[in-house]
Amino acid sequence: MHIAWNAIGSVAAASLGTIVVVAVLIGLAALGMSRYARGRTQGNGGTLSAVGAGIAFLGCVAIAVFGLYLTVVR
Amino acid sequence: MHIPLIVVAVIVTALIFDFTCGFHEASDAVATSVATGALKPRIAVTVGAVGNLVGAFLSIKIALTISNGIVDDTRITPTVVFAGLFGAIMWNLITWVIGMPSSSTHALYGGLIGATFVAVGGNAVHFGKVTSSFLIPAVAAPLIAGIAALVGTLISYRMVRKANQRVTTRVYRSGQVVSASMMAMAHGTNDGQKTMGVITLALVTGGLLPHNAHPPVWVIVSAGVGIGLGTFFGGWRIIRTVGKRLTDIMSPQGFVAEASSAAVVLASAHLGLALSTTHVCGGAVIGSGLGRRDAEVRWGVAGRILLTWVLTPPAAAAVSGVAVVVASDGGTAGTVGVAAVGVVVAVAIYLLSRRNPVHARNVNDAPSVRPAATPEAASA
Repeated sequence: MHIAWNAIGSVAAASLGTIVVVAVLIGLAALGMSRYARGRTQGNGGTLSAVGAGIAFLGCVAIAVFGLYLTVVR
Repeated sequence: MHIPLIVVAVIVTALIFDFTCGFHEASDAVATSVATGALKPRIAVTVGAVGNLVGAFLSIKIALTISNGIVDDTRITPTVVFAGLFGAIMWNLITWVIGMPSSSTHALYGGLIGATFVAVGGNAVHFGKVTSSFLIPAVAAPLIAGIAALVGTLISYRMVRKANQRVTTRVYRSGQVVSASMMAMAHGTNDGQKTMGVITLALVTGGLLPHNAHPPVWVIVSAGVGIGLGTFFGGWRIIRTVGKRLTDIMSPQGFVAEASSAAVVLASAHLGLALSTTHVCGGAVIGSGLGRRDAEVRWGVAGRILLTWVLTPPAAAAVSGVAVVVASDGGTAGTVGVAAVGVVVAVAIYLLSRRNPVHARNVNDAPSVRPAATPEAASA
């Protein structure tokens, strides 16, 4: 009997790595939008924060698309 | 080409199983989005249905695992496949009416193994393959997803602890639209393939396809449509259990739980491991509950879910074992009899469910694990 420990280990490593990156990116997006909202309230603009948040959010979407790409092309 | 009646019966039964799979496991894709309010219930199941349909076209690797893997397809007949599906459908309906998120994958495996064991004998079951592709991943799946969700939730709450809670909630809810779509596609590719595998297995055992054949296009299309339709109708009872009764889920947890589940399911689909999406999602929801400081996991509910998971393969196997005896010994009349019993049980379960209906309008009407005045802020 062959148990695919390598495959299970790969799934664990890939999932953990992905979720750490995704959690950091969405956290950055939330922080960016929060600073933007505060900047707007205080009249400071905060456009840079909003752009950073958008980039971080798009990073999450890019990871999702990459995950689908890997599934389709293997 | 002459297609035997039993093969037609298997294909129809497989598509009914596919529908129950989508219906039963809609919670995998949308429960946390519904619970956090990121998506309205009807919109959530529509997103889930479309995602499931698209996902079914992404891969056939797991379909090949089933049709070539756990049982010796050169020794079983379409009647065995029919009985295996029958047991899986019955178990899906029973667990749906009691609102327990059991695995359709494990019900299907249990049903096929039980029917094969009774009809042909134990030596037609590839127990090595069952252990390596089924039992080990069954234990690993919720653990991996749970740890990933726990770590992701800790990171999320750590990062946004000083951020504006209203804005944070909005960002995570937007993220949930993406993560729910991803999870729906992951579910479609993972679970849609199981029906493809079973129909392919029936066509192989009926002599209509060669051994080791890939699923034909019409099989892929019908499996995608079946699971998508099932998801659209929404298994609201199970969505309530996963989204509201297991733990209180806030937007960051919901996002992380869905993202972790999608990552695990897609990674496993990429490697051809047939993980149960139900186990993955259950583990991820518990992990996200443990990751938020003020959250509380309702361990009584978790224990009942775990018991359901353990009972699923043997229960489906037992029902399928009886069904295969009746269908084999009774010939066409026996097969029709089994199907008639299935219809009667399904109607009885539906009528039972009407006593306490759960639907899109009341799916979130469940007591919280712990009442919180400002739930989104509670964890910051």
